[in-house]
Amino acid sequence: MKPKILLVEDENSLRLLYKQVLSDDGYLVFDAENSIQAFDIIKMHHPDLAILDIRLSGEDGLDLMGRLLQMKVKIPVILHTAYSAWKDNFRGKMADAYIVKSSDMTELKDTVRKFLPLQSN
Amino acid sequence: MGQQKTVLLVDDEQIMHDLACAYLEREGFTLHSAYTGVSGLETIRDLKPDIVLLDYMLPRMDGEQVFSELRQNPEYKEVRDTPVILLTARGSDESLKTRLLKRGVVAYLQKPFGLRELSDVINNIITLRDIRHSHRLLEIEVKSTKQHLSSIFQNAPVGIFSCNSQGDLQQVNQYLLQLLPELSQNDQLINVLRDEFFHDSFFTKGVRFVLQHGRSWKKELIPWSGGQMKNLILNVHFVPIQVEEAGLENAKSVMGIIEDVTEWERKNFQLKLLSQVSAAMQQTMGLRKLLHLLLTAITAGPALSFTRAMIFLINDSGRELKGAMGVGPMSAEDALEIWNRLNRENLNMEQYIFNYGPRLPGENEQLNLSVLAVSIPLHEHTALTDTLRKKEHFWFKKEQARNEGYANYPQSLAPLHLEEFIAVPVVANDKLLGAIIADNKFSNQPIEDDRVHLLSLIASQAAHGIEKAHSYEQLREEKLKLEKALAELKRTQVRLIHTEKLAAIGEMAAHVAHEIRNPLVTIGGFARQLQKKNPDGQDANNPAKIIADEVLRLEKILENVLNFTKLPDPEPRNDNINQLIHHIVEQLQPEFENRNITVHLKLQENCPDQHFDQGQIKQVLLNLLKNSQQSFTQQGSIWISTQVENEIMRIRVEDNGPGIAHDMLTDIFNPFYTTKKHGTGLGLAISQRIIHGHGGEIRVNTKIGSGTRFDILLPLNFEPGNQEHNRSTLKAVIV
Repeated sequence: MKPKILLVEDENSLRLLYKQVLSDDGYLVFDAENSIQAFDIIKMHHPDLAILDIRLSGEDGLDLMGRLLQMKVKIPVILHTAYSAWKDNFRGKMADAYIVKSSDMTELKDTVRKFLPLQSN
Repeated sequence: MGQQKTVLLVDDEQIMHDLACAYLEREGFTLHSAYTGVSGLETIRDLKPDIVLLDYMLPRMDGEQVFSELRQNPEYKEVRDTPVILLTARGSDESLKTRLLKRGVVAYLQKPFGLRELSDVINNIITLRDIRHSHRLLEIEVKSTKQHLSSIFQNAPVGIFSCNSQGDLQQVNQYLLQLLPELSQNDQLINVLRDEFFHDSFFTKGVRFVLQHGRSWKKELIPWSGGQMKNLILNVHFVPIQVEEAGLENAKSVMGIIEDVTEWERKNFQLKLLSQVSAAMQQTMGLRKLLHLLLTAITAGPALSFTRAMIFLINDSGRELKGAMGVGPMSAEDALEIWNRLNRENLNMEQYIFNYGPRLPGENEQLNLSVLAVSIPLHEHTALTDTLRKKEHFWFKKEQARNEGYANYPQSLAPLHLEEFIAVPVVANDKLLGAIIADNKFSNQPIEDDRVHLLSLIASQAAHGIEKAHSYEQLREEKLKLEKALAELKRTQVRLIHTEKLAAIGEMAAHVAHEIRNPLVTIGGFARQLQKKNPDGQDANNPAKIIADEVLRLEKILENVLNFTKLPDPEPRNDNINQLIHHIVEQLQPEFENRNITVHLKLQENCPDQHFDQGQIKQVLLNLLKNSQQSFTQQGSIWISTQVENEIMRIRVEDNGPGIAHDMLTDIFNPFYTTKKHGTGLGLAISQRIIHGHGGEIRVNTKIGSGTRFDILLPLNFEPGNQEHNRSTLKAVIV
């Protein structure tokens, strides 16, 4: 069974890109545009890892992460953002990883693989 | 003639008496008669007639004998000079007449003579006698006047002289000789135009002027020093006079009056000096200038005329009087040189002190240096220091006995070579500020009582001046400090403006960069996907690879731009937020008061210190407070509170201003977004970046019409760049 990833990203093209890349790597990717969709996915699919963009319309990624923690959803959280400024944010620090978006997705893929090792097939 | 003249006729013939009586009485004379020589003499003696008519031919004693008797007998001494007219008979001896006239008979008449002739002769003789009498009186008067004048001339309390057209002194009175003894050399009056000593002096100039122009020459307050360095002040007035000189008719001469006004002028100067010094002490001036003025006042001019003056001021510890300044010559030659210059330049005290400029002519740095090197230890037991400690003046006289084992003054004063001197304390508010020491070194004039008194008065004026100068100096230092601080502030301001500009550019760049990043990532990411799916994906000419590489290059450029334009990294130090808030509020207080804004503080008690960059956080708070303040249209309140909870410091800035419209709320942290006329739209953007830089957050809550609330959340244990720091704690804390 493929590991499940929650991907929250409000920009359509990027969401499409990450979904493709991570799916190609062998993960099952559930993508959400905002926190509401994200919670639906969590309830329905129980993902193994969450990749959260910080700037979202409505509740932002940090709030979302806080809520996950409150809900005792104990999955690794990767903050994935265009802004390096949040890196030192006290809430940002609660994330398991903080990755600045790049077209070179090696870092993202490596981090995901670290938390969710793929069974070699 | 008022009084009737009496005539005595001595004749033995009655007819003569009758005739003469009838005629002379009609002419206004009173006639007495005598008939013999003896009775004639007696009548002359007793009645003292104005004139005697004496007949030659008398019985027993002839006229000649009577005349002789009258002139020679001491019995008739009083009337000896009564004029006698001899009456002779016609044809008498001519030699007799000549002889008698020679012996003093005033006239003779030859009988028979006309009565008219007789009265003419009598009248002539009486007139002659009156003239002679008044001449004699005149002579006496002239003589006594001459004596009187001479006595006035000699004893006048003013110098008087006269000299001829060649400049030879004719007369010089006692007073002037005492004043200017050089006018006489070897008991001979000098020639003022040719004398060496008076060469170019006022004396020579004045005499020459009067002789050349024939007009009077007047000068007042001329300083003059005689050979013994005695300073005099003279008023002089020279006038032309006409005197007959041998061989020269109406030759020009000069007389002059020279008045010694030294004492008068000195008293005058003393008063003036005191008022000038006191006026000067009222002004605000630097200490050095003040001291110099004081010492100059003590040494220059006739008011005090000490040769040297030195001032010592108490040091910080109060245990020593340190030499501060000295004015005066270092040698007798020096003193004489200054003396002579003073005379040549004709300066009076006032000109001297107030017009001569900051430097005393001939002021010898050497004395000043010697004084600067001296300090008087006050605790030492000497006559001088004991007296000064009592705040009294100390007058050291040469002849004063030296007590064994009790020195007159500390050894440290030795380099000043003091002999007789006066030291007065400088005291203000019963505190010893210093001392002035003055002496007459080199001139060897004695120190006089009234000068000591005046010096004490000046010292007390000086005390106030010095005190004032001290405060002035302190003020000046404070002012310098303030000026320095102001300059520093200005520089900081300039730097801040510069920083703000950079920050503005940075914000803009960052904004643009972030906006570009997402599409770039999309383009690059998909290019990589294409590349992966293409078997020639790794080929250098593969378009997908080219796109992916180019995008990566762009991203790197973007990252560089972001790094280049980001705010400086915070430089956190252990500081206290509450203190910072107090400081800021204090700083803004005048502005708040101006706008009727009340600030309420509710700060966390025992607020722990935390790590933050004070400058940056201060900027954030200033931004928030200024925004609040500017939002008020009228009076308002601002609340500032701090609270520590879960290792997070919350700083809340809340106001009851108009609030922010909801649709604007999403934009307020965006750079270049502003509702203000002159705003840059960067205040909140930069604030946010700073807070992010500190690993914190800034949040806003607002309600239209009731106010705005900003919360700044800062982790207490901020360590930049440490991703792993206390993650688990934080998780626990925040959840």
